[in-house]
Amino acid sequence: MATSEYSLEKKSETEKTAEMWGDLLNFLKSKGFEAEVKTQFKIKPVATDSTSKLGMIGKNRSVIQNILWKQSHILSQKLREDFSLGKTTDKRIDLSLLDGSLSEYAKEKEDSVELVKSTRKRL
Amino acid sequence: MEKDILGKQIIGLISMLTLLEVIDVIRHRITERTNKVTLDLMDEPSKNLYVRTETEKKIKEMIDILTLMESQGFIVFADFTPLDLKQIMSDVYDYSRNYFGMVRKYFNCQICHNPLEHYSYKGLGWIDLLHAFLAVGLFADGLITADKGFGHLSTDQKFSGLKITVI
Repeated sequence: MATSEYSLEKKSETEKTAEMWGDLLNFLKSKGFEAEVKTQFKIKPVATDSTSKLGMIGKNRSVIQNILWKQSHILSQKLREDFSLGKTTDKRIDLSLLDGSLSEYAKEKEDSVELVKSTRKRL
Repeated sequence: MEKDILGKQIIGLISMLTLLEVIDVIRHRITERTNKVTLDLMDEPSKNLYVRTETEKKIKEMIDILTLMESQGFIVFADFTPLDLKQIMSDVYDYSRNYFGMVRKYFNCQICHNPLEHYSYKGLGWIDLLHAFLAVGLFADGLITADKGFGHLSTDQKFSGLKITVI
């Protein structure tokens, strides 16, 4: 009896995981990442201790980071276009001018600034 | 912290929400800190045009620097594409429902600084929580903020993977 109950519970968990995995893949496809899903999701889904979709994505950090990296360049170019700025390719940033400026921005915003979130690794 | 970013020890991750909030702050601060006499001398449309022009100049300057940093790999812009916003908003709602900051007594007016005893609620708002949940969803290792209220999150299991630094 105990074994049977255990099996049922395991099956249920597996089904649940598979369902969440399917949701995640569909979600990424719906966002236009069909190619990424095909090439990068050929890894076995791992059950997580979290039942949230967020936890599920958490097991695929590198995939999301690849998407982020790609989107970042697109977004950056769009921002430059929106604000009538030229292309960045011919310009180099003067690091000495930037030293201290991030802290200054943060000090400027007194209430709820959340200026920079960091990642330790290169995306 | 910027030394770590410029030294490429860490990569700054700037969400669109952060960018929107900073743009909003620039608008407010320029309006508040423009010389009152300068604005008094203008009619309504001129005031708006003046502040708008000054604001756009600063925002453009900021976008120029940030996009240059992006192109050189110091920072990354994150839009909402890889995120399940429905899930994240649901997480924000659940957290907000059970969260309460604190009621604090103040002795001076926060605008004119003259003596004025009053109480004020201090705590994380829904946008603050959204920042934190976005950071988790975007796999940030840390969250850098000037808001002391975020310190509360560092004790919460949900944010155990997120190093919160209050500068």
